[in-house]
Amino acid sequence: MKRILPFLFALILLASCDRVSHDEGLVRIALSSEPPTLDIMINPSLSGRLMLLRNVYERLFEIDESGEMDMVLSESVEFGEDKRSLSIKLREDVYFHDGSKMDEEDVVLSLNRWLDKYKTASDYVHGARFYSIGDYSVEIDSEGSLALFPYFMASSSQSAVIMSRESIENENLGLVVDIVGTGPFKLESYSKGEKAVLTRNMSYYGTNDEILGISDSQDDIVSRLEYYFVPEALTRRIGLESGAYDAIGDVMSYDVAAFEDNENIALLGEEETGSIALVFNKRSSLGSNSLFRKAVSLSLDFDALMKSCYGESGYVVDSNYMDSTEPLFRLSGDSIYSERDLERAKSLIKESGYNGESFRILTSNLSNMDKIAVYMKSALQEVGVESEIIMLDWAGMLEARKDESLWDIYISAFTSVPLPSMKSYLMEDFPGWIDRNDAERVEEVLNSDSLEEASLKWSEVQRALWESLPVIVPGHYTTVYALDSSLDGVEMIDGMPDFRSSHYKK
Amino acid sequence: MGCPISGLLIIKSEAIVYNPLMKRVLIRLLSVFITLFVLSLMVFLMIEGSLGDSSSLLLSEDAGEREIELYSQMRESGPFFVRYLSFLASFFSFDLGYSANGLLIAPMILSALRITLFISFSSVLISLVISLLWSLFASVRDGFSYRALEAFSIFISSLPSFVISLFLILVFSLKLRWFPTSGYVRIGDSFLGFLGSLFLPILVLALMHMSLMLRVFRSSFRSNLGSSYSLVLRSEGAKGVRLSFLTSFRESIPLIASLSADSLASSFSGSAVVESIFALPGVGSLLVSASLSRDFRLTGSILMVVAFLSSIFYLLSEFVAFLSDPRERRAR
Repeated sequence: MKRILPFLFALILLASCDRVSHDEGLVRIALSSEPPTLDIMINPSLSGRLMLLRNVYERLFEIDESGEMDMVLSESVEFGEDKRSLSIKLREDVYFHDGSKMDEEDVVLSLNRWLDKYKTASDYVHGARFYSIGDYSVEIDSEGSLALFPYFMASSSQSAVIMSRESIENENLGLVVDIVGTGPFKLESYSKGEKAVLTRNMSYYGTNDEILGISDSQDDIVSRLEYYFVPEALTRRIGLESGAYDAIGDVMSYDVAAFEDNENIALLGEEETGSIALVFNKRSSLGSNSLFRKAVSLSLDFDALMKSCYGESGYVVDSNYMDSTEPLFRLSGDSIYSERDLERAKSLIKESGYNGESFRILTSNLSNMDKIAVYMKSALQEVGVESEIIMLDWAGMLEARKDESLWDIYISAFTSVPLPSMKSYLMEDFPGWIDRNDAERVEEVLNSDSLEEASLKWSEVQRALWESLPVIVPGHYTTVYALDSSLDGVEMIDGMPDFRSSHYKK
Repeated sequence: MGCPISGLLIIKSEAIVYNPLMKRVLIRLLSVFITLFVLSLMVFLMIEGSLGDSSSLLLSEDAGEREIELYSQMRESGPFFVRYLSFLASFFSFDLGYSANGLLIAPMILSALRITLFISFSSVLISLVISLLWSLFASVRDGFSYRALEAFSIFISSLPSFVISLFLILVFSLKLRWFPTSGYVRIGDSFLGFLGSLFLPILVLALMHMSLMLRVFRSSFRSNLGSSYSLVLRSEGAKGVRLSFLTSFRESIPLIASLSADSLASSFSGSAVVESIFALPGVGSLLVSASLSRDFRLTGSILMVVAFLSSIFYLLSEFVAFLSDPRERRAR
């Protein structure tokens, strides 16, 4: 035993010295959640897109900040007559990570799969399909205008990415499991519950030069991205501070101040990445009563409501349905029912014929949303409305909200979307069941020949919705990321950090 | 006498029936299967009764009800008992099928199991060695050693595992910078990194086990010192720690085996918190994520594997107790 003890002690010391050193070519990112699947064409989770979109999978084109199209896997886009057809010329020098060359068949198969999986897009093109017209070109024809369709393709959260034909044919249970894209990184390994490792695709086509060319020396460029799934906020924070991670997501509002004082850590991203929505059940007696809905809105202090969920920071109070990431669809005004007015709320409650029945608030314990329900209950009590909270886990809440007999209002968070008609709670068949007239007005926004026209149409629809209040949006949340301050070249795109051009400062 | 082969069979069957060890093995094996059967049924009923399924989480908010319905149908279809029997059949044929996100379940569980088993066995081994030695010393004297044992045991048992974890992270990871704060290093990547990444989780679990083991062992050793066997040893000149060891060691083997099995089994259920704090991809964290995402097949498979292993641990502890106790062996 006397001989073994020193050996064990030495081993422990040696093990303890083996801390992960700061590797120049490696970025370790701790994410708060793991995507339910890596098939980002089906699941729009932020974590999945953050890891795979643009890194592993690419779209045909992107929309830049000024609203202009930026070609990625395509060379040009042309509209046909009346903008009812759209033809896309593809790049001919693109290879998938498995070495196969991208051709029209891959693109047609991928985009039609996207239409199959994404109802809103499919409805927009009236069920039309993509087809090959040869010469590395694909086309789609529709009964309606396709003017905004490229915008859809470039920005929908159910991503219209191009996958290899083999990976689509090998899908399992309706999900792509072989992650083969065209991007500057390829998926090296994925361990459920632990991490996903991406390594630089050295045979990346053309624009690799642009990505690799941000620095004089290519050695600076990060060649390996490791995404860890770390649900505990404290573990993420300690991991960043100790150097175990180089970047972390979902920084808690109470950690922001501590990080601001730490010169080794930089904060990134104050953009709105989604909104909190209080969705009324238009099929229940209380939720369908417009006067009662207005009274509920007037009884709430939106700032206090958002604070109950996010703390001192990490949110913006604004009743616009659209997030500030889409400035064209953001109105400068606010709902006239967004200012708390208890007297007016009481009089509207009386006028609505409320007879003391219990107002049922459905919520989940995800991301502190249950605290919003607790705040609402106390605020409603002040105006004489009795309420009860039905709290479930996230999956349970998603199921319960389908049953119109269970609830009067539900609380949920909705990620940013580029077009108002992509807001699921504004769809007629989505829980909440917006009036047909309102749904049609929202759909009408899509029948525009330009984004500007759509913007004008939406401003009218938004004002009307602020008046009828099928949904209350008290505010928008921001997602903050924290990085090792020696890491440079990380940009925010669509509320997500892009590490493609990241490198360490010398 | 008849046919010699049938005679042999008779002799063998008698041996099985009247061999107490074999009898126990058969009874325990039967109870393992009954446990697994009841557990599988309970898991199934629980999931049937819970709201939501994996399709709600896998599919986008923008997916229509029609898509969700089609997707759900693609997975588990058919009446309850058909699905239940298909699950049981796949489990016992070691083909666990696919999780809700289309990945093979068996390698997923095996990979997580390796980590959980390693931290569980290591923590139980460490806690056993320390607890036995400490208890031996504390059993012979009522002085400092005993008081320290009592205080330590009460202190640790009153702290939740996440508090102990955070305290150890603060001291060993942030202050001393000896071990990583979280994460898992594969043994193939770096052996020392592997040990370093698991050291703190093992220590947390070991401390949790020790809080119970110390009190039980000390009390058992102490009471053994008053036995007539101890008096004989004392008259032969044995004293102090040696006396306590000679008196208690053989007597305590069933207790050690039983506590070890209990600690190993509880490591599985208790590892979820520790794995979550240290971001380890073990069985506990996999079970939490699977049940939160309503991944019926993965949740059920993990629970069955954990129940099977726990039953095996208890079974082994009974064998050890049986083999070490002549009274048990004589019992019919």
